[in-house]
Amino acid sequence: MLSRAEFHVLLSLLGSDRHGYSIMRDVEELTDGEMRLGPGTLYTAIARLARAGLIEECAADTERRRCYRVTRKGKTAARDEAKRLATLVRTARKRGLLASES
Amino acid sequence: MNGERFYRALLRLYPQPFRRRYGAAMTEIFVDLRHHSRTSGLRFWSFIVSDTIRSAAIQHLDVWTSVSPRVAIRWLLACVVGTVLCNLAGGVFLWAFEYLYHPYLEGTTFLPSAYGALIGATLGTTQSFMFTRMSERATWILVSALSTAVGWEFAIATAGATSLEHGVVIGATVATAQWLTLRGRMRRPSAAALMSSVAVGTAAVAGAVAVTRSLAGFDALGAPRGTAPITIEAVLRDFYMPMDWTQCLVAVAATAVAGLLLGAITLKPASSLFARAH
Repeated sequence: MLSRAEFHVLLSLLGSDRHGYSIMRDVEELTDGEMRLGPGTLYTAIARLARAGLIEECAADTERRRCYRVTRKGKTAARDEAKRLATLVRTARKRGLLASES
Repeated sequence: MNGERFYRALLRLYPQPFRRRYGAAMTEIFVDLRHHSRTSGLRFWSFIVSDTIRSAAIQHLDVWTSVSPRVAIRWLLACVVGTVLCNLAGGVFLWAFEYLYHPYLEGTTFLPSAYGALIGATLGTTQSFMFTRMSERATWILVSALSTAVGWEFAIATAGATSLEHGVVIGATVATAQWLTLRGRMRRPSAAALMSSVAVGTAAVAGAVAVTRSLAGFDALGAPRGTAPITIEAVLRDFYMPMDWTQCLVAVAATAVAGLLLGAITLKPASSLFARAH
């Protein structure tokens, strides 16, 4: 199971290859400022995802910053996590925790 | 000290390999964040410091849990079996001394270092099976035996009456010997030696307290702690000789727990050492 930060890093990289600071800004935008990753949390997530083979480094960008991209295994892991979360939300709806989709 | 220098100092909280790999990139991000930050200085720094502390703790935990399960199990098993065998070997040694004791030998005593060498060689032998080469095994056993022998003499000469004091002195001596022997083989031998020192101290306390307290429960009125002459009282001080098989089993279980503690505390440095040996 992915942590919240790891899942958001994967979601960000599904859009395009990015360097650390770009991932950080993108996650903030994706979550409407609700999730702010610090440098430590971001690189802890990157280190774990890279170790698990879910992301990999790509050629440095013009500013010579280290860049990351999601692997095929990473896409599958992100999809599985999204499905898991969707199931969780459906269950919460059945119990009346959330308003039903209409 | 400016902000960047302070952040670089904060990075020292991370394990070294992580810092080497990502430290420069994290500093760049910190500089960008600070440049674009619209929050007050206090809020910004509380965010950075809490983020660093939390993620550094996670990184250290990751390092400890990344130990190979095979190496970890073998090391823990070696420490548990070794500590239990130490207890048995020590018991046999003391029993033999008492059994063979004769009034003609009044005033004679055995050297505490001989007892220490026996204990060190026993634990060292079970741990040495982690090595693949015979020369490494022999060195490990020799270093363990000699350092424990010296440590035991040193503990009796300098330490007070408690197991903690004995354990720390013996542990520190063993740790110094390991540090001298392993300097070239480990990345951070001083940290490993410190772990060893803490581990032997903890195991000594845990073993002595568990054995003494649990066995004392079998004989609340206080059975004699052995009939050995006063000269070996220092060695016997922390031990309560088991009277029957149930007490023996309790003593074995208690020393096994002490061995588990010893193995758990030294697991990380040991795994880095033996990962190379395998």
